[in-house]
Amino acid sequence: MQTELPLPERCLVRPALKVLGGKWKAIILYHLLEDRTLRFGQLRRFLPDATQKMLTQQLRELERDGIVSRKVYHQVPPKVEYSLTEFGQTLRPVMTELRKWGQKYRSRVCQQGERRRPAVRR
Amino acid sequence: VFVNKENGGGQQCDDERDRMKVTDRNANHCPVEVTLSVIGGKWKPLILWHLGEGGVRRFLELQRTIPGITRKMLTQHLRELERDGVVARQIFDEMPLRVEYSLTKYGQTLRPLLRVLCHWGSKHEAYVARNGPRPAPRVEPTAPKRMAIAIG
Repeated sequence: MQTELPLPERCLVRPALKVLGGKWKAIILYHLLEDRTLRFGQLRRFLPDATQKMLTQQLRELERDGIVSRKVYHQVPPKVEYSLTEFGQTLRPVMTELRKWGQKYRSRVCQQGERRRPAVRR
Repeated sequence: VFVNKENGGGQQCDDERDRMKVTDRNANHCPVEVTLSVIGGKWKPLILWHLGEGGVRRFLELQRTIPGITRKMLTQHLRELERDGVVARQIFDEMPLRVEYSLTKYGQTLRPLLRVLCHWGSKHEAYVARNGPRPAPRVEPTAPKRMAIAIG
């Protein structure tokens, strides 16, 4: 487990979150980790609220950061596939931890919500 | 002497509104995004890191440890982290008044996650150093070219 390694001298949590934290990136990575290789149109269906421009931009950033690779097939109609690079696969345990903590947080807030009266909106 | 953990009474309405915000964001997002909304941003990773690895910190100690953060930003982020239940604030009735911040028991559950993120950040830094900053590649012409196939 990575946590047993000596910690880097500097806190590198923020740089890590900068790579992962963009809008839609968590969901893009989730699907690429699950489904391995996806075409652009498939990703769009998974993220119906993201505009095409936004999705392209996020994928480009992930490509630039070495996480995602883009493969173009020169055929008619053209086909473009996205998958995680070998380096991108190192994100798997990170995403698992992020997901696990979020689930715990969610159930905690739900429990608190049941105990408390709902707040009155003004 | 430990006196009080809560914010002043005047904060109550804001706190109630914040709690609703938490519930809303909770209901609408995937768990990864929920986590990122608690620990993400420019300063929160550093605040949590120093409280996690360094233990209890006074306000000014934290401010000194995190160069560039203003008093206002630190106050605001600490308050949000308190609201999310990961940071505790203790006021000691002394002169001068002493205020200390630490991770709550629940906040301690963030430490393994922060360590995993830190290690990955280090890996990524090394990866970028090896491969250099590169513009996003646009085309990878790996598909086979069309070839005329002579049959027979």
